[in-house]
Amino acid sequence: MVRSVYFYYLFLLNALMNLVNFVPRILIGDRFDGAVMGVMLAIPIGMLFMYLFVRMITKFPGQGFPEIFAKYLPGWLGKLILFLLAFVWFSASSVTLVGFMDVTGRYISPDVSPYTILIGFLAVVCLGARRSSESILYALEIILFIMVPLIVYMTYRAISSPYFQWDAVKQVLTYFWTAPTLTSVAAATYIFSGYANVVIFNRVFQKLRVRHYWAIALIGGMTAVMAMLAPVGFLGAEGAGFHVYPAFSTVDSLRIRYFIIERMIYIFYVVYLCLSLVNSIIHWHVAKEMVLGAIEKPVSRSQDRGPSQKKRDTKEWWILAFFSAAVMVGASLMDQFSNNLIGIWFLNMRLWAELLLLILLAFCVLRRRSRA
Amino acid sequence: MNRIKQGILLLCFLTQMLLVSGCEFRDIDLRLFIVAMGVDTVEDNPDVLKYTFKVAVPMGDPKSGEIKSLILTQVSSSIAKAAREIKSKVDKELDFGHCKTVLFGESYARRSIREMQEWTVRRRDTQLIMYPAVAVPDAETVLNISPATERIAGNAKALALSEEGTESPYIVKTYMFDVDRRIRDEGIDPFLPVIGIVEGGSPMLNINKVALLDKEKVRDILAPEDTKIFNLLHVRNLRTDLETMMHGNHYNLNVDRSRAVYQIITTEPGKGEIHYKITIGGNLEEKDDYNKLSHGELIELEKSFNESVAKDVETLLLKIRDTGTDPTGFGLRYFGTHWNNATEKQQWKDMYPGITFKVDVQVDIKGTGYSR
Repeated sequence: MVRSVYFYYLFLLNALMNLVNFVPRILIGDRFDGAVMGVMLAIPIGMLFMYLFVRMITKFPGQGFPEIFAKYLPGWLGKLILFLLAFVWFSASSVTLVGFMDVTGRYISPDVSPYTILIGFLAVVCLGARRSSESILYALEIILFIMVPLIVYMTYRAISSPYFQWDAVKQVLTYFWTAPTLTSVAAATYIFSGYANVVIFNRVFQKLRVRHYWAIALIGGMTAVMAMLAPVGFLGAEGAGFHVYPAFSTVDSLRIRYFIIERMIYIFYVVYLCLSLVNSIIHWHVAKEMVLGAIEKPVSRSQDRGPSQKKRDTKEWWILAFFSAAVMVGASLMDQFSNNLIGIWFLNMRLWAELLLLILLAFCVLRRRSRA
Repeated sequence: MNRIKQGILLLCFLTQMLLVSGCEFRDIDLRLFIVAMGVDTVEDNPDVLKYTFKVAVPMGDPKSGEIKSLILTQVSSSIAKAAREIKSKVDKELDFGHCKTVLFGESYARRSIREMQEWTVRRRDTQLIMYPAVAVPDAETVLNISPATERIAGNAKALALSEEGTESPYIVKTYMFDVDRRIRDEGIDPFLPVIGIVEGGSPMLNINKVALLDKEKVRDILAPEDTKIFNLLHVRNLRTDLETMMHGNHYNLNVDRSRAVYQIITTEPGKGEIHYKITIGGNLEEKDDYNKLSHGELIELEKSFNESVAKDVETLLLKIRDTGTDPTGFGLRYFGTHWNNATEKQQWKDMYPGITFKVDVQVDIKGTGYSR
């Protein structure tokens, strides 16, 4: 059982993850077409989703979605939806992993085969995703404690640099009144969707209570603004759109004078490598538990290592093996542009999936009330 | 039994990973580091360019003070090709990761720097924080010069351009990412430092001019004194001297605080004025009048400085305006402070050639040094 503070960690991890790959690229791509307004809209939307979700999930203390669905939804429907949701979580992590494989090949070791890199990532993620929910949350806490100060330092260095071009930022901000695209709203709301992992992790929360929504809104908003405007400040209002990984190019433009290494990008890479892996571990853990919940009878978690546990282990391995194979195949089929396109598809899909999640949860709450 | 199988599988897997990465990674003693490169035009053949690479030859002991470098030249139709062609002239893997300086020969820079500049931004192992510069008379000559004070091969240019070593008011500082965004963005144009050589005597570099570029080629090269004023406008707390005449005597000020801010004011439709406000603080360093200086005279002196600096600045700004370039980014400021995004670009284009400047300088002389 863990305290409510881990809820904030889950949110923070997801928010920080989105300072890099798809979200900034989409927001920068739309910077003259309504991304600024998109971010402004995304903050209330994201917060509303989070608030509603927390309100509803606290009605089911200690239960994950598989248990809730088994109780309140017809069997076949519950299973179908679990599979669907598992697919959303799985795609979240696979776009991250494939994206990061690409980044590693591009910036760190172009001589190493991308599949070797991916196999390395998958090994870590598979082994990590099999740990218990508590262990994963503890690991998340430690990683965040190490990485957040580094991210804060890098952000500070970027903003305080004399090369940060505020005029370019202002130029982008003057496009405030352009109507936003759905894609940019979907991208910016993703920053707030860390809460969704609670669908499984709710099992281990002692008594989930979330306060300080203003702090969450503030951090999320700052993240969204940074994701979009830091690259603009460094790479130019027009120029930012020419970079494949705006966040990485931005950090590569920073120079640390009095440190053992000169290019900030190496620190940034390590930080985001750790965060990506933890993020993927969490996503795979959730997806795996969803699939397990769909194909297995609900079992009480405190069961000892009996014969049924062993069976469960085997199933887990098969699920993870299937996931890994799917990622490998996906990675071999994708190039830079299709990877980006799939990222955009995913971000749009997950906005609707989140809505579906809320509706389902509301439905379960109503069923529960009518039964009581 | 199962455990053992798992263990063996894991072991196989891990050993395989060692093999895969091992054969593709080259150790540091098998690499040659390019520390600077340059590009020149070739007389009587406009289709090819001459690329020069300065390679640091690894030495046993860096403290011995002995440095060795190798200059490789290659005439080729493109830089990517030249980099490959040069590989067959050396025994080790060429590594661009430590290349700090890129020189554009003057005649090349007067034609267009885009090809080389694009390549350095696109290629992943060339840093975005390289120092670009224009070389006079040409890049090869400048690369061949190793000043007697140089302790690490090719280091002198990078040290001077980075202001990590010498801190001269005549050296303008820019990075490759800065040049890139200035090329991409409207309303701001790149500038580059100009590296010349000292004729006669021991080999020495002389970096005291700035080249103003339109989006791709050098339009004008400013004289050293103009370069100093240029720096005063763009660098906060520039360490420089300023000169004035009062009652037929020379006075020199050592500047330790400086700040230049500006505002674009539309005086009437289609006409603009840029108001510069420059605050300078410093101490008197030299005076030709050897009598004691009274407080009243000091105030008078400040006024005299105000006028002479304002005059220099205004002359320079008009000169830059008349070259048609905009290294300060007045245009970008204009776009960033105006909300009519559709029409602002045309407005500015019509306005800039006839724009006027009003310069207000506030010199504050804190003291007269050790003697009055």
